[in-house]
Amino acid sequence: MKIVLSLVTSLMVFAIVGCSPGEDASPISVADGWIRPAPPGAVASAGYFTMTNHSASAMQVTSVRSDDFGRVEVHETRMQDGAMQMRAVPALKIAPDTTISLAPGGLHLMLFDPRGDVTELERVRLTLYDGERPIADLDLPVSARNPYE
Amino acid sequence: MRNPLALFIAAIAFAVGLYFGLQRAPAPLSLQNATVLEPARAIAPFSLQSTRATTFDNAALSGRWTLVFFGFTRCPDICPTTLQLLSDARQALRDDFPDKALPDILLVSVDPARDTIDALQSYTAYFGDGVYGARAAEPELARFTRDLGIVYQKVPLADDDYTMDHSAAILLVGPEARLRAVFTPPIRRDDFVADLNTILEDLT
Repeated sequence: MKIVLSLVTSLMVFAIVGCSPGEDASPISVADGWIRPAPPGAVASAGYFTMTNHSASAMQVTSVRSDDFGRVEVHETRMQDGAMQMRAVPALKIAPDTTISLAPGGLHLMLFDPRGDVTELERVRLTLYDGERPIADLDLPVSARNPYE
Repeated sequence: MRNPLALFIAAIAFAVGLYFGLQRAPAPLSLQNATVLEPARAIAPFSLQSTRATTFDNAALSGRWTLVFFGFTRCPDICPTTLQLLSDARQALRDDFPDKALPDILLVSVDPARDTIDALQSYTAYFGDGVYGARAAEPELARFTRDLGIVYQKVPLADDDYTMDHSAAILLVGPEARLRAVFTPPIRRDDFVADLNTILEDLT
């Protein structure tokens, strides 16, 4: 009986360790993320978050995939001579030990071709890729306004 | 100016001018983001379509304040961000102003090829009370925007898609349908509300 108990206990410990975030931790951590749903009549939703590269090497986001959207791209809004411009960012670089912000009026995700009604989604799951390597999994709340303000 | 008498007369003239100048000129408004136009600038005759009326012309701007922003519905970042900010500011002013003194918020599309009145209708309604949209086919849009100092340009993207670069300025049109002030980004919500408050109090 004792042996069985200790076996169960050690299995539980294994299970807990297996779930810990320290195991195979992603080099990129993400915070303060949210998705602004496309207003009716619009075609694209926007995504915002802060990400930090904890690794010793530079990373880049070259693609983003989500089961909820057909196409996701990194874009940047910027001011040039008093005009707003929006451009695609094919490779978003993050230097080691650096945090960058995707925020309204600057870098952001553009989410096209929703698989359903975006306004009915409560959360959106996304994966950031550096080439074929997944570098971060995101699970972001959908909100009409910045929930962290 | 070597002649001491001329110098003396000039000094007196300057002082007198300064005295009367200070008497006449109103104290300048203390503003963060806005430039007030003195005198207010007339808007050249225009004829657009709005989500409120088939014909949207100079007379349609009469009778109340209007904040005018230029954008398009396929812009997922700065356009909704700005409209939300304008709508929030309008809401914040409710404490100090009666409803009819609150500025309406007008989105003028710089992408009339894709922004139908129906698309603008559902898009602007989403941002709350007092928000509406207008559009015009070319060359009317070019004429209207040029008069207001607004520029826009079509920029190709991948897959035959395109985006629009456009001026980020927010214009404030007075109840007499003249241009009264221009706000230039970056705009912070609190500064914007304070500026609007000052302008509406002072110029109404």
